[in-house]
Amino acid sequence: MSAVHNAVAKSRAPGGAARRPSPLASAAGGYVLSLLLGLIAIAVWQAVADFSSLKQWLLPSPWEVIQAFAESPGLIMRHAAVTAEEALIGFAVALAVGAALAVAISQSRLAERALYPYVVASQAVPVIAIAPVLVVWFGFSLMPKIIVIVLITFFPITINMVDGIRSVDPDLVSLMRSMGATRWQVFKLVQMPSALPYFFSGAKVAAAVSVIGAIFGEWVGANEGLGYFLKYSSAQFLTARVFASIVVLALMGLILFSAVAFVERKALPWAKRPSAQN
Amino acid sequence: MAMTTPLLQVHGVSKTFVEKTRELPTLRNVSISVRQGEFVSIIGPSGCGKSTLLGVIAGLIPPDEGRVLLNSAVVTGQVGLAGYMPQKDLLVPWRTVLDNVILAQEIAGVPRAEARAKARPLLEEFGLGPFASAHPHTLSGGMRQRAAFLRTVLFEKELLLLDEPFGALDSLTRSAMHQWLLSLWERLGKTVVLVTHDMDEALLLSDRIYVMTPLPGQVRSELAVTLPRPRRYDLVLTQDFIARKAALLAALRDGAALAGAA
Repeated sequence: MSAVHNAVAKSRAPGGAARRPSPLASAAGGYVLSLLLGLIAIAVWQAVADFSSLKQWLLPSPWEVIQAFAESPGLIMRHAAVTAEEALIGFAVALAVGAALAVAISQSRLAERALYPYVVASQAVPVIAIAPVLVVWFGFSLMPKIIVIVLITFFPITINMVDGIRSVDPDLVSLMRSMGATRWQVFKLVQMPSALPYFFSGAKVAAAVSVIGAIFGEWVGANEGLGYFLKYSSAQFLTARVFASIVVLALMGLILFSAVAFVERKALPWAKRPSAQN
Repeated sequence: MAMTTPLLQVHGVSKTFVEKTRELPTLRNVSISVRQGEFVSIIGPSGCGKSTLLGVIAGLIPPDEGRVLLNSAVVTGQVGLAGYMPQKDLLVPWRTVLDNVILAQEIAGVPRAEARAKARPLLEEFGLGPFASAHPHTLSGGMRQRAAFLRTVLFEKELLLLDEPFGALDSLTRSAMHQWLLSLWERLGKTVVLVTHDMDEALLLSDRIYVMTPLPGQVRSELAVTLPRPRRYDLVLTQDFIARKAALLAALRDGAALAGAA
């Protein structure tokens, strides 16, 4: 039987290899392309900055942005560390709050009816309006930033996870019940594992957005962090420095997203394969 | 004696599903009985309520009327007493084949290591040995179904309820599975209730066959399959088998005609 299996695998391999390169090669190709796109954009930007008559405070060139970073890397990184800390704490709280809400909503009709409207309504809350009020309540502390981050990042986690828990085949739940499974066992053995890929989808969105949340929280009231740094740099027309901060922020978002994606791959080695196989 | 009291008795079971304002009468006064060690099939056209009947026996669907008795005790609506195998294999993608088949043991609270140790030799016997640590999506349909059957067997109940277990397989794989199930069943000594719409399957595997009408499902007739055992798949080519198949076909048509007239 395994001989048959091997023969099938072998007969498949050449066709598969001819159609597309190995995953590693195509991934590397993608990164090369991504890098190339970035370089082209930078070159165009440099050319526009060099040949247009725009002042440096209106459009700094990429080289000037690099210089702005090189002038005070310690300063930018110190503020970046503050922002990163807020983003991480906020993200962690959002994971816990988002997952807890998803479990409550999916397990109880009552909880669903009681909570779901508020979960959705929370997304209509204008953060712009509420953030200054939070600063008045909590001052320049960590709290307003965490609240802003959680407010804008728990939603994709909750919504995705509820969908994930509900995506479980009802026949599988029936099978579990026929084996005498308790509700807790159905949740632990079937619903949770099914929901994990959805949870990670939501978490990736949340990870990328959490940096924005931190910046926003700092913008309205802080004395440190990249949001604060951006705000006063822009007020002083230090536009090159603003751009340098934005690049650091973008990298931060990318790193956080990649970290979540990495954990996902390690935690769910089975998750991506079925559709590719059948 | 065990021979005189049936292991399973279904008495006058009726079930009507209500969807919004529409009523769907699905089972009407269905009674069957199955002796210990017997292989009984329930055959009928698609959507005749035979899967619902199996769900009632498994305790998953509460009947409107009627009772289910197991070893003479009323067990209507009780789950966890029979091994139930639905048509879909329902193997979970995040578990290996080995960990999929021990699901029932894990629910029962058996430590994982112990359940695995118990399952391993059976995995060999079911021809799944080399795939113990593989994930289900790497298996063929027939192998997945075997794993699902082993999961049912490892629930360790006297009575197995099989709901069209080979319905999704191609006909060649299905006949191989029939041969495999025949030899396995003779060794396991389990009592089986099989729901099917495949006449060859019912005749080849069963000691008795209940024929059901289209909706609302009723038991139209009962056929004893007196073909000698052990049986082999080439039995389907014999005159005796074909004559029985003709009788079964007539019974199925009868049932359809009866339901049409009603």
